Formats: sequence, structure tokens, C-alpha cells
Amino acid sequence: MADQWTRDLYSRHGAMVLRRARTLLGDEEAAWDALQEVFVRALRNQRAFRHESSPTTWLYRITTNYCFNVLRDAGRRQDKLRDMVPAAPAAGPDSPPDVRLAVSEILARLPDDLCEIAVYHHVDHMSHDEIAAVMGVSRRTIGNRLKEFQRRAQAALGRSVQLLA
Amino acid sequence: MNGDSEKTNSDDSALRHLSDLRFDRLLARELDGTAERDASLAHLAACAACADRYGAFERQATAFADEAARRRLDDGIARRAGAAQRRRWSWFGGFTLAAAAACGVLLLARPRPADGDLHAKGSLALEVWVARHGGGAAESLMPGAAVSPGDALRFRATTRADGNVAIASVDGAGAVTMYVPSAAGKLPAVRRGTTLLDGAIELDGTLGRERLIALLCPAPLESGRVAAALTTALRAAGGDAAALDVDQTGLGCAHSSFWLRKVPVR
Repeated sequence: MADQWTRDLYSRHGAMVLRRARTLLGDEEAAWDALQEVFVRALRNQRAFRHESSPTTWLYRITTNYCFNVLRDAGRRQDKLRDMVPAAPAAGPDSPPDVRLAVSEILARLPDDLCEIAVYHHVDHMSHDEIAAVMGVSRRTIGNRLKEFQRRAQAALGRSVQLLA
Repeated sequence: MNGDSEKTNSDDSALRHLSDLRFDRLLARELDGTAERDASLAHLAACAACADRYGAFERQATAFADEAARRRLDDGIARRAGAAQRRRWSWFGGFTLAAAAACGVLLLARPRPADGDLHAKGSLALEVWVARHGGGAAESLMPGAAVSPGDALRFRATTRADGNVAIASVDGAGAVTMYVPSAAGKLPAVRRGTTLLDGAIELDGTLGRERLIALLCPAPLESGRVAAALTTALRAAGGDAAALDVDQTGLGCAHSSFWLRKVPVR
């Protein structure tokens, strides 16, 4: 039964998980690894899945949190390497936005829940209502948290943050 | 993005277009039979930017199905999660598949009395399952998924009203074939809700894009009349399955379509 459930979930939602992992991680092979890990976690935690809710929103959260962990681990490794390897030249003003770098930066400085809300809003283009439904909080809370995110991100990074995919 | 947010949240920058979440839920068919789906489709019809993005998502889903099958990732996931040994679904195993010229239908639906009103468009959603010719568990297909000759299909219909269901195929050669019901007779009746339709069909060797047209009709029409109406509409569309306008058949049925790609056996 578990296998059947997994295959159904995978065939319906695999493309979505892969696309979001590609965006957040910015690396093709890492995204395919994430795809597997997300579905392994989903299968192991299927009892926690509320069947009355949306599998899509459930997988959005698993994918986001998994990618955050990957980026955080990569950030720690980067910190260790920074003293040994010359830094890459900074991107110019015309460079396309690099979602991975931006998410990595804010993850190192801001709480996960703020980052999660910011990703849903700026990367997935979700409305406040949709984010509120995914996170299980009120719409007013989402509006306030997004303002808080911009304020703290600007203070930490010295600029406003747009994570456009 | 829902209607409430559109009315009240003027500072929400995501309001102008549908969100990726909405596209994903549409593609996963989570919104079938809901007003949210109808509103989303209306938005897609009016917003070129959203239609383009949704089209890109559809193409990604098709490409993903091919690449994932090549990588056999689903097997790896099941193994790693300690899933039970794979088996074919019993509701497939209970049938003996036999191919006919176009397809062989094995069991016919058991008609049930119809009552209640039948809504127009948006009241019918079709889910397609496949048991691959080469074995493995049955799987639910995404729109645009690849299937092959010898694969067996079954259908699950979700309706918002009682009615009578038909499923027809317009294949790559421009032939109309009734899948449900497969033989001459009246359309099987279904109750409001989700119904696994009796019978399985085995795909023939005609390759190319194939359009499945599901109909929910208020009257128990004869399958021959449905096939004839669709054939006439196909002819009027110049033999182009994509241009076939079901609303012009005069059948008065709600309908939805599901595209497949029939490719050679790998």
C-alpha cells in the first residue's frame, strides 16, 4: 500500500518538487537529490499527513525545509573554505538574480520561519492568504511577518531583498 | 490566490497573477470539481502571462515524467523508505486483458438509475491510471504522460452530479474510439462523487498524441450516438483532435479532456 501511495504522490507532484528544488538550490544534481530526499521523508511521515489537506502544500513545506537544511550546511562549509579560497567576484548590477545565494544569505541571518514566508511570497508568488493556509497562521500575521522580514533583511544585508525566481 | 485576497489585499504584490502553488494544484488535479478551478481557468483564459507560465509548468511535468522514468527514481524512493514490495493493483489484476483492433474492453459498467441535476462544465474530472505492459505497480497519470501499446488503462471519474459517463479516444490517426462503454449500449450511470469505472482497455499500436474526452450526460445516451457526434465534430475540426469542439456536438454533456502521448515500448 505504501508503494502505491508513493507512486501516486510521486507521479503527481514530482515535477513540482524538482522545480522548486532547482530554484532554491541552483544546482541540477542537488535538485534531483532533493527530489529523492523529499519523497523519502514524505513516505516515512505519511501518517502525519492529514488526508483532508492538500498534498501539494504539504510537499511545499517539506521541500522548502529540506532545501533550507542543504543551503545551511553548504553555508557552513563555505564559511570553512572562505579563508582558504579567494572569493568569487561580486555580481554586477545587471546580473540575473541568484535565488540560491539570496536565500543562503538570509538563512544565515534570519529565523527559518521568516525565510520560509519570504520564499513563498517572493519565489512562489503566493498570496498572503495562500501562505497563511500553508503555514497555519492568520493572513494578518503573514503581512506583519513579511514587513518584519524586509526590515530585518535590510538591516542585516544593507539592502532590500527580492528573491524573484 | 483566492477571491478574498483579490478583493481585500491591495498591498499583496502576488495578486496580479496566479501563484505557482495554484498552478501546481491545478496540475495535480487537486482543484478538480471546485469553484477555485473554474476561477483559475477563467484567469488563465484572460491572462497571457499566467497562461504562458502554466504552459511551461505543463511541459516541465511531461519532461519530468520521461526523465524520472529513465532514472527509475520511484523505485529508489520506495526501497529507501522501506516500502512494501511492489505489486500490481488488485483491480487491474482481476481483469484479463485482451486487445481488439483498437482496444479490448473487459467488463462493462453496471448501470444505475440517475437522478438529480447535471451541472454544465466543471462538473466532471477524469483520472487515468495505467498498468504498464512490462509490469510494475499501477500509477496515476499526469496529463501529457507517455504510454505505450499494450499498457492497460482504467478510469476514475469525479462528478458533482449524478449522470451518465462516456469516455472516448481520438488517437494519433484521427480515429474516434469509445473506451467507456466499449460496446454498443447505453452510457453507464454514475452517482455524484468519485466512481472507479468498470472495465480496462489495452492500448493499441497507434502512436502519437491521444485525446481522451470524458462526458457526463444527463440522459443515458447510446454509445453509438456519442461516437457519431464526436466523429462529426472531428471532421468539422479538419481532423484536428485539439480543435474538436465538444460543445458543438449537440450532446448537451459536460466534458473534460485528458491528453496522452503514445510512444513505442521502451
